[in-house]
Amino acid sequence: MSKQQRKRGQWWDVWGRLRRNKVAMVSIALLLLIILAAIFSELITPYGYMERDLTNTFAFPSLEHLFGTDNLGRDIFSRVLVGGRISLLVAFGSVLLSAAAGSLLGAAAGYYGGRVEFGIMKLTDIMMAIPAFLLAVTVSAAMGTGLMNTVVAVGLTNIPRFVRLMRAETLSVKGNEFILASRASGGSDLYIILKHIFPNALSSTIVNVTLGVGTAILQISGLSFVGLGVRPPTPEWGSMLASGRTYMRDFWPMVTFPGIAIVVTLMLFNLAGDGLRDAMDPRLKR
Amino acid sequence: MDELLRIEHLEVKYFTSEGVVEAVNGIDLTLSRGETLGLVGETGAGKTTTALSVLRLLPDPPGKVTGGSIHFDGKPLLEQPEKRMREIRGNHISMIFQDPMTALNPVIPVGDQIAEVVLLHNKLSKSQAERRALEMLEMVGIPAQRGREYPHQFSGGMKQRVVIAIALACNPELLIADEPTTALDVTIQAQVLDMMKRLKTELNTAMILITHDLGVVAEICDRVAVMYAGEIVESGTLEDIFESPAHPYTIGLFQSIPSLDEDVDMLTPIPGLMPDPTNLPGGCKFHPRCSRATPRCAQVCPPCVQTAPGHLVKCLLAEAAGNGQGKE
Amino acid sequence: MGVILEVKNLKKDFAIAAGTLHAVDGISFRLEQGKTLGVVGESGCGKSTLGKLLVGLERSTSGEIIFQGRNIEQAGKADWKMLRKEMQMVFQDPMSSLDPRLCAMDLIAEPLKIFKVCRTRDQLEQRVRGLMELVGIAAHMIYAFPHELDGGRRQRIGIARALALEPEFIVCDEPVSALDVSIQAQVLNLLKQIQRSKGLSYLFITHDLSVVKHISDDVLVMYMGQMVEKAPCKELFRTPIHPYTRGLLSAIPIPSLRNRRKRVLMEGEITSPVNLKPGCRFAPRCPHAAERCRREQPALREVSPGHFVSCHFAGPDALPDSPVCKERV
Repeated sequence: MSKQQRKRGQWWDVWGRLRRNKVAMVSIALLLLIILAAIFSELITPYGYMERDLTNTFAFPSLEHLFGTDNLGRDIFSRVLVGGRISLLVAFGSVLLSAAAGSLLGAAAGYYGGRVEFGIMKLTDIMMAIPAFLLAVTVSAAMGTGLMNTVVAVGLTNIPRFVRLMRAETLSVKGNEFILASRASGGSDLYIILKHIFPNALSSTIVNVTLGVGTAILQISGLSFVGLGVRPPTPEWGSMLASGRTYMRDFWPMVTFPGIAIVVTLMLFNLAGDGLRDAMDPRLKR
Repeated sequence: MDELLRIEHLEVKYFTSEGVVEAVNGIDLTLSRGETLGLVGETGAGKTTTALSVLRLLPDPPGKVTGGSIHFDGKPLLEQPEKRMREIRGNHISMIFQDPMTALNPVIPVGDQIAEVVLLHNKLSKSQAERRALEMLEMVGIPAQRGREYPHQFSGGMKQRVVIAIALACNPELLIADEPTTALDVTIQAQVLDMMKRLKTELNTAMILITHDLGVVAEICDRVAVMYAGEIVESGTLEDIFESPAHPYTIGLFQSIPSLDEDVDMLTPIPGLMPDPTNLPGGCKFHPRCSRATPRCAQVCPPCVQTAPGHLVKCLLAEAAGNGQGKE
Repeated sequence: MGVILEVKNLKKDFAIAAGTLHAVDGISFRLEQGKTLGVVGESGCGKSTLGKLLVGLERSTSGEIIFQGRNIEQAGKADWKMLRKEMQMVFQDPMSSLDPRLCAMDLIAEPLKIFKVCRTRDQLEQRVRGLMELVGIAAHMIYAFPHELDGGRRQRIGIARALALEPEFIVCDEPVSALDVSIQAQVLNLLKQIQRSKGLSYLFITHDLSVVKHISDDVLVMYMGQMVEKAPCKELFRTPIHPYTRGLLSAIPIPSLRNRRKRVLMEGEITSPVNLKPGCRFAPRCPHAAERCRREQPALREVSPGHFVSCHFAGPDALPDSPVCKERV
């Protein structure tokens, strides 16, 4: 109660708590660095990601080529950066798609209950019964390869987790008396969902989004790896792994660097997600 | 009288990121065998913390006993090794908590839960322990054949009886009851209080009853200690506290309760709020809310004054009244 | 003064797995403007459901609720929105009845925003500050979140919210049970003061008989969804008639060594009103239960002006031991 004027409100508080969490801050900083590097890759490296130099194939890392060159003499560092651009873009796009669709369905199921809930939850259960990757492969095989289709394929497979999360959150928030209090003050259903249920479920959704981005990166890479997602020569971490696999025995940089990129990004997203969750709950003050 | 428990200058602090919470600030307490002491106070007064330090069950971190001593049956509890403490807990000192709903394991029949405690502390065969468990159930007024049932088949009052049976199963010398009837309805509370009253005389168990309800204290206690902001501000026999309360806080508590016998238009509440335990006021901790506070109250921490034999008051006014001899 | 609320034979059933739960079963009363009706009973007696029915948070199964001369059971969705302005509710647990993500300002302003009472942000803030002053919260706490406040202040915010639309009638559902005694007294005084200055009517639901005695003009005692006794407050405490009321009164631990009461221990516990058998619902626990009590449900009758009891032994067949309450040990 010490701070008297608190006009800045809730997000200022969240920032204040987040700032004190060193692990989360470092993760977020590194993530931003990776994202910026992916966006501005052309400014960072002198080589184009498609630029071949057949006189210099399979070069090991050196000052000239930080991560070495691949079988066609392309600079692996540039390709990892640009590949990150595609991976992250598709991952974010697909997760936002599944979060939006999933949260709406979940909130409807939790708030209204009855038949609405039954229908939505059964559908979700059916989707969850199919292994996520298999589903993504099927959808993507049916729709064909391409950036947009990959977004949809991965997005669809991730809907169930958001439905279940939002339904559970809605049910727990709905049990609180402040929902009743808001109804007693005259609030409508939509008002209550938007004003009370979503904000209270936001923190776990954001955490789920950050974790979901990690999973999505993995799925996209997986799809590309089996030749369904993004097609070469467009660089993508998964497809880079796939093409490096052939030469793995004699030339390690082609698989190692995209692999490290996937692992590190995934880990950073998880750490940042954990930090955000702690920061966003005003009740977890200590 | 035969002394069972002696707490001297006990200090407990919680070290949190928000600051140091001064939960218990130098309290002194003694309890004789078979005696019932009511520990009264509002939320955050340090009642539960005191009880947990006796059992050495303070959550650590953040809680730490920073000073004082606790002697049980002549033995210094704070210096006992953890293994010895485990033998004491449940066997010599046991505790019951406020919420009977969460105190029982939902997947074990209640009879087995009682037998478990008996087996833990006694060298008995399984069938002997089970027999003892059923005896205990009968004692708290539950038919023995219900021992095979699970907690969810019992009502709140019945569950609290089972919890009491578990606590008394090893015949402890001391029972600490933390708000044992607060979660119960009045008619059920009356039944449970009646039963506790009967059991403590039958078994000659000493008891510390933690409560915020002065009515419950009047029903069952022999002596009373009133806590405020981690200190015992007044203690004495039931008559001392109820007939001639001397500390302004105790008096304020009595005036806050709507009376069933008299009609008053407006209550006389204690103004203000409990002080922030990370930032307690200097001098007497109660002075910011006290209607009779003098400038001296803000500076001097009042000593314990004995106004009548065994009636201790921690207030400068009681000292000034002159009829007390200083006791420190 | 006029009657603000009249309830006639109100019933609410819930379908549960084991059958039908008669949560509220035939309650009738009248509440006059500016008065307080206390509703007492143990957990599960249906008192909270009654409160929710009155402010429209639950729909009744049958019966009538007449508020300011209008039958609100027939009100449509639009009418209800207007009725909300007139009737409000204060909840038991101020921790769960306040959205933890909103600050005091937003919490108190919520009803004002829903009804678009204020045109500008400044006006809104002014109103909120006025309400905070009325319930006694310091102005600098306007941006504090519920978890930063103590129980008493939280409940004051709950009261400020209820008062925001200047209602005529407030249902207080155990508003002080979660509070410490010294804070409880502060909040009770506040509720009384506000009632006087605004001429409000309260339905005050509680399990605490000393609180109900302090604040009510009339008291209604509920047992298993039914009304067992209703009387003017003083009369009920002076001469309780129904054995349940007597038992309830004698069960309260009195914080005094004088005036000890003789205990009438009630056997057994309250059960849920599910799939009921005929007969008086209190009979299984009643020390005076006779054959007739198990067979036939007693009707509510007026034993003295304004004093209603539902017991076969009330009135002409009065129970042998007269008022338990007066007996001293």
